[in-house]
Amino acid sequence: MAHSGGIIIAASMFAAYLAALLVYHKASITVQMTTIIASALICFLVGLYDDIKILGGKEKTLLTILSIIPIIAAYFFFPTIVSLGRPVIPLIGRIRLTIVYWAILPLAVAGPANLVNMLDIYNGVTPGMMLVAAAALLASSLILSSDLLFISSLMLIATLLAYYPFNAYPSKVFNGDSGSLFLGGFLGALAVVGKIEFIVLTLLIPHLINGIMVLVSFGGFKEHRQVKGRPIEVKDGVLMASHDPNAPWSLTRFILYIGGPAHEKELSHFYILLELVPAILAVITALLMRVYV
Amino acid sequence: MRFARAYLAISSLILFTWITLILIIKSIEAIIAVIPSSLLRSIVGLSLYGTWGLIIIASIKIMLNKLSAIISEKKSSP
Repeated sequence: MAHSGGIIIAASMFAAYLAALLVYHKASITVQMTTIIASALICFLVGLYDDIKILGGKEKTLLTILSIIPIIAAYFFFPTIVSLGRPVIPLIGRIRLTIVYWAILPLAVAGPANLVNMLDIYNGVTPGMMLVAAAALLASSLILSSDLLFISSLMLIATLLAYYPFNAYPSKVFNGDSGSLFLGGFLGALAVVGKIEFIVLTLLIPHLINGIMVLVSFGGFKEHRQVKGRPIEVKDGVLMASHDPNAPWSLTRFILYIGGPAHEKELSHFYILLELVPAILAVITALLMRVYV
Repeated sequence: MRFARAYLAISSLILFTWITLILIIKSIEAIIAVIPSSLLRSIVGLSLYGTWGLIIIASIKIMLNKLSAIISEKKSSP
């Protein structure tokens, strides 16, 4: 069983990036795509290191913060192509977020990367959810007439359509941290460079809910090996919500608590179907943003 | 669908989060729009976003503790 499917994902996305550069001869697209790929590759390298030698929860999060460097460098070298701050929010328009934006910028790529990584728990969940998210991004690119968003979403769709059958239950290839951190990092970098922060935030709401649940109940960034109680119990291949009142919470425990015991395949399909909700909201966000862009 | 109840519950949570995020940003924007100084606007904005963040984390913590308490009650009842 291969444990670093992230290598396949990153290699495929890099090949798609090179192909996109050959097709699109615009300097702005070249700079923006290079910045996004460079940021995502930093997340990938952190994940790959974690796949080979295990990193602690805090170390992994701190190292992924480095992925903001290509974006800041692009902002300083190409300020007319990569601009930062003042994101567009539906029903509000361009908001006055300048100093606050810079304060939260270190987490702009590291946040999505780690949120996607935290929900990469069952076969097919991450590529399946990202495929739905990429379809929403493709629709948003048409609404917003954004070449960058169009190319990026096509790259994601092509890669994930080819990869999903191998990671779907029963998985032949595991994403590893390299895969989930790369995909999350790519989305985060695309959000900042493409100025679609709220669309990506909408797409990652299930990941955000899971992340907050885990961080609040685990009491901070901890590797799962450091936590005593388990949120999920497995009996004869069936997953059940833990009935230990001291066990930490996660979105999966919440789902199993309401829905009852489930097989991993059911849970994986549930998560992919669940991503349809933020995907529809993301398209609505793009429609509402259109008047301000 | 066996998981219809869970799907409905989490979909509602996602929709609630989306609307809440827009409302929070809209309210903060309305407050800082009346502040003339750029530096003061940033300080107020930063503290308002921080306060909202803490409120959200505290609310989720309370919700999760209540859920754990329900589980604990169910476990102890015969």
